[in-house]
Amino acid sequence: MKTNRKVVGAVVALGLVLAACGDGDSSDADEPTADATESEDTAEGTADDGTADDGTTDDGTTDEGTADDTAAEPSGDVEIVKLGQVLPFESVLAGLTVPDGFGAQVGIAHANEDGIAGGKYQFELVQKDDQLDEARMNTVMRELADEGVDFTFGFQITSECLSGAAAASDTQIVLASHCASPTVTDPPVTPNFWRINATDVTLTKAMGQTLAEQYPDIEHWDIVGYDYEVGHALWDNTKSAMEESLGREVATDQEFWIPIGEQNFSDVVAAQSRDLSGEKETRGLFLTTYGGGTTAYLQQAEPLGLTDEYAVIAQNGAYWETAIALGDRAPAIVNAYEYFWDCQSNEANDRFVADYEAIAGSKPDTGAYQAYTSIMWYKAAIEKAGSIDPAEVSAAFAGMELETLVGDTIVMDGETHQATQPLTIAQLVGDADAPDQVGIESCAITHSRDL
Amino acid sequence: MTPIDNTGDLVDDIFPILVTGTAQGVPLFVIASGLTLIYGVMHVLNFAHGAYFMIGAFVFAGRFTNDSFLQYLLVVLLAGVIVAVVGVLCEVLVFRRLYGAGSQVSLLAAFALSLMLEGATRMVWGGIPRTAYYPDTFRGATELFGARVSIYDLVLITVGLAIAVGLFVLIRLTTFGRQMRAVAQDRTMALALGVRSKRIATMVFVLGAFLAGAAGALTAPTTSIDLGLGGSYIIPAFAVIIVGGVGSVEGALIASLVLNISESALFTYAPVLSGFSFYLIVAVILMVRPQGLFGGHARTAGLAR
Repeated sequence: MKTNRKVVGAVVALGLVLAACGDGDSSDADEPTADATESEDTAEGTADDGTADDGTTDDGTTDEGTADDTAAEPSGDVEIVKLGQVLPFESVLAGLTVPDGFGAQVGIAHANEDGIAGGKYQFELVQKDDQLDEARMNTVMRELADEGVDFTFGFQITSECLSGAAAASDTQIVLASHCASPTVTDPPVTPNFWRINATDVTLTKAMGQTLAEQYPDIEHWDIVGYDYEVGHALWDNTKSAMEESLGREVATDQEFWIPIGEQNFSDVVAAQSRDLSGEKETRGLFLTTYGGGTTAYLQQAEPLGLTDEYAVIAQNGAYWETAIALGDRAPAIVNAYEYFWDCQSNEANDRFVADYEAIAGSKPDTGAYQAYTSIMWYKAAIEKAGSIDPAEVSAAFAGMELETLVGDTIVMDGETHQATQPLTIAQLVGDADAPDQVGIESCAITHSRDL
Repeated sequence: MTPIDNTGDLVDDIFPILVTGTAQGVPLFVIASGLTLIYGVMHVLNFAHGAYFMIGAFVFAGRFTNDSFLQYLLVVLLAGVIVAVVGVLCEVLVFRRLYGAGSQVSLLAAFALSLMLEGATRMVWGGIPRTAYYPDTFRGATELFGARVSIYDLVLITVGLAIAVGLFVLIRLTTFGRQMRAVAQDRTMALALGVRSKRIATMVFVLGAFLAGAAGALTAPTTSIDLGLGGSYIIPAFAVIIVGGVGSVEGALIASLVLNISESALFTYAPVLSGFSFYLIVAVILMVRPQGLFGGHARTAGLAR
């Protein structure tokens, strides 16, 4: 009896704690972490599963099945084609991968609505969480094969690309990857491995050229970055591109290379603040940190007003999520990626943004665009191949062109398995009045074939 | 805005190094003091302490809305109280059943508990990283001895000092403190003398968890609040209690200050050591004084076993 009282007391206490913890000002729609990524099952919702017409459930969370809800029910003649999205949905990168899940759902809905090969096929989404664990990738790919999935996309981190390609090497599974390391294509790691998004090299080149055009008066740069090969390469490539465009040497002043993943920048910001030199108008700051590292750096730099001491701050890698996390305090940062939702105006993009917002409760980011584009890529490839045979669809990738939401085309090189694509260099800034509190101050769209 | 002066002078460097190092040491001291008390009294290496810290930060981020000093104070206390409740649940439901099973079993349980708490945190707050505002009162920087220092760093130092004094008074000058020390020294004898050791154990857990939650809340405005936050503080906190001497709150205070100020100095004068200077200093101190700065041989050996 005494034990029972303790257990009841413990449960009541836990309930009180959880009740006290929940945010008063946030809704589930603001944090699209929920159902879309928790399940590894297929997204086959139906209209009577509790979802509303706008694709959201009563409590505002997204239902996995909403992508298909908007599509017509397949008739007996329609063949289902399963597309596997492989990402670390539940890892520390969840903040980056959740939008990808929503982007895929919208892509599936649009492809099915528009009709695949004249309505012969319908897509079905299968999401798998690799937990950023290379050892788990074998299980993931085996499960996908068992479930009849021949076409996959995602694989955001280089290690996922490599382990995914290796795990699928004995199968016919096709991979359309999103990782950015230049090493996995040209030549491709396996014959079925393709990359439709940009590499770090092209992104940094685009960044360097844009910075040189827009900020020619910057005389020297301070660097804060993670001390690993890619971190150094991001700066080196950007610097080279700037020097090429400016026709002069670009000087660096302070360089801080700290261990990868570190979130304590106290010593960095103290030293940086102490040793700033020159005038603000001639000083730039380049960050090669990412994710929580960038957030922590900016948080710790805020009291010293460091971000106000530079004419421009630039960062390669995702700043969108950091800006959302910081809200209206996010400093203006130039960011190079493939897509920013407000940088183009066309019907296809408007449709994507509206439908994405309806299920996610926020604007789409580059990851959502990449996932959406992957779905459209498979749609185009199946239509080009006139078949859903994996070998024929993979072969159809070579030389294929796809009109993107950005308004220009992705073109796949059949030799290197690396696509060229439109790139966007945008300046993002915290803005209380903007959607998601992130304003897009300027956009420069270029194409990697022109770099 | 006027550009910041570039002094680059040895004397000018010292004050910012002291302020930055001390401010960095405060959260570590607060976490480590709870850890060391719990180990001292119950011989539990509570790996879940990192999760307590993370929960404190999430509570702060969810509740603090960039308002007054009073709200800041209340939310820090709220974070501490909520985490203290979590700590009590952990002690009553998990650790109390394992006291007789040895520290290795408790360590494994604590590790499992930390993973469970991480999962629970994801369920309550989701996986999206968050940030917290600096309190309006403590925003910005000020000039002190010719150096520009963050006001919030000064606040952290003041709060750390207050917690250190409070803990000293609690442990040295109160009945609870005496009973706690008695249980830490000889549980059987304390029990024979009428000290309710189970109750003391629970109270120590409450105190330790409260401190971890408060530390998380204090740190919240300076970092990205995500599920990996606890992990980045728990290992340095263990290093602090080992260097300070296991079971010694005074040791945790001195160790956290020595380690962080030395790390800040090395960052400035030997940046090539950046990234491992903290553990380099730990290694050097332990080579000279294996039992830690304030520790006894027996207790350190016990931890090693």
